[in-house]
Amino acid sequence: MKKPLLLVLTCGLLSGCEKEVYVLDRYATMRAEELVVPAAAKASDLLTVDFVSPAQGFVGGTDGTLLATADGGQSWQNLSQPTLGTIRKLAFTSATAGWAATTSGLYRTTNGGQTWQRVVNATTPLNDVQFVSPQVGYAVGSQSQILKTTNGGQTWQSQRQYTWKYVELRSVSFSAPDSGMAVGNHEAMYSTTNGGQTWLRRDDGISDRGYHAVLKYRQPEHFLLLGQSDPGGLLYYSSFLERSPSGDHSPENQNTFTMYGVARLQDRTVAVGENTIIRYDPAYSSNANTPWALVHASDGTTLIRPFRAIDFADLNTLYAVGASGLLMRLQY
Amino acid sequence: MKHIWTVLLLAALPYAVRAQVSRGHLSTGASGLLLRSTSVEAGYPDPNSIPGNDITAVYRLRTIDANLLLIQASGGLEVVALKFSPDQALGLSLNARFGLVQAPEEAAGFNGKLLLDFPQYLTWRYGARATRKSQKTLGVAVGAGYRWAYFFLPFNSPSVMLEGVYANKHHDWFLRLSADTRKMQFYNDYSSEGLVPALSLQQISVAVGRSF
Repeated sequence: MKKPLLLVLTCGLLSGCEKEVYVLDRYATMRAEELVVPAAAKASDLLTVDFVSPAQGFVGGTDGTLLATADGGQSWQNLSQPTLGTIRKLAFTSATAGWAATTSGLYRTTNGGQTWQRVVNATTPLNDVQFVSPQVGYAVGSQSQILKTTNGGQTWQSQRQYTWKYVELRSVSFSAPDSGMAVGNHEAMYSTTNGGQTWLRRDDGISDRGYHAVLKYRQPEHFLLLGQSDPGGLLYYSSFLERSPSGDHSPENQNTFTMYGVARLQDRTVAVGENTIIRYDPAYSSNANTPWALVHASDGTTLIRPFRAIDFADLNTLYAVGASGLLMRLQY
Repeated sequence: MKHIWTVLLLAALPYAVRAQVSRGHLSTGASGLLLRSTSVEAGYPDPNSIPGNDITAVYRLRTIDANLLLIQASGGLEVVALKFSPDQALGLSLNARFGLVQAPEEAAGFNGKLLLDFPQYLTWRYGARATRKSQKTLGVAVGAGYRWAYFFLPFNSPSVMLEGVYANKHHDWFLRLSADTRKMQFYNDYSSEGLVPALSLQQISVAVGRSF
């Protein structure tokens, strides 16, 4: 009788020594490191960032603020030129060739931002520029301005029609040379499937709610919208929305901080805004109904910073910029 | 783990019954639950008081370092497994107890929670209460085993106990101290950091009881 009982006890004690791991919560987190910018840029709001390789990148902002790095953000060269106006968007195609959409027009550089040539005089400020191919590009701006080039930027044609109601178009995104969207204030959402020959336009003309960025997916009718919620309203909308034929997705928690920028590389998509970073991360979303997760700092707290734009340098490294000279390196 | 223990204890009980050397006891006492927590907590600002009406949750770190009180009642069975003499034996102490967590203020959702746990020990006893035939007035016991629980969190740990016994003509009275030998550790999974310790629990108990 005694031996089996002792055997049972021994087995029990041994099984009790096994360590078990219990996980309470899961959070999408990123390691964040704030980078030092030249003193002259600390007072500027940084509004756009574009990395063309893991080492080489550019940052633009108010009052012609322009910074460049060739060592992965360790040091930044100040290339600011106040005559550029406020740089709303930088789009580089190589370490030397790039475009800048600014409050004073559309500019082109062929020497890494050392000098700029204005290719379009701005009758209205321009907010975004995108090249879908080496030849085809689009730029958008105030007063419903939509410009298109089909010869690599040598000439640009306005697609705005006189019958259009004026809105401020803030972002343009094409997933193919003929298929794209432009969004702006008053919930303006313009879309085309024929390279801009015709635009399907929607805006309510009165809403204070507006969009700051759009990312058009290759799948038809599938895109991301970033913007602001309805200030002062009784209903609070998410300021981040993924729309597809199968339905709408917003982040796991209702998000009403204004969102400004989005970056995508391969299957990774990250968006930033006021006090907010959101990424596509089904594994770490706490809500099974959405694949979008709020991103926390590496200690789990919220990354409370005034982000304005973000870009991938490589699959695991991103750079985010924001108000008051904010410049951060993030590890995906 | 608790299923393994359940099977083992059920397997052991027939031996105890056949041995006819078991003795039951009832006890009451208190435990300290040592709670250490550093984890993120979501806060929702009042949307009507903030410009722009931003209501997105803001996550901040909250550290809790609290000693919670657990009022408990317990019953159990002492089984002699290997008798060296009337005053010295190896045995098994099978216990079941329930308790209510009390805290002066809300502590990470623990206040008011019920805990049902099952501390089981392999014991060595000397003197009173070692066997039914012991004539000693005083006795001592030490034990090592495992405590598993039904709680709103998994809360199991290896446990040790020390017991002092006073025997009179009718009953054995005992004072039992027991403690988890390791903290029950809970983690948060941060995608960039892996598993990060978020909460630990450890139980230390004092109980006074009487055998029957």
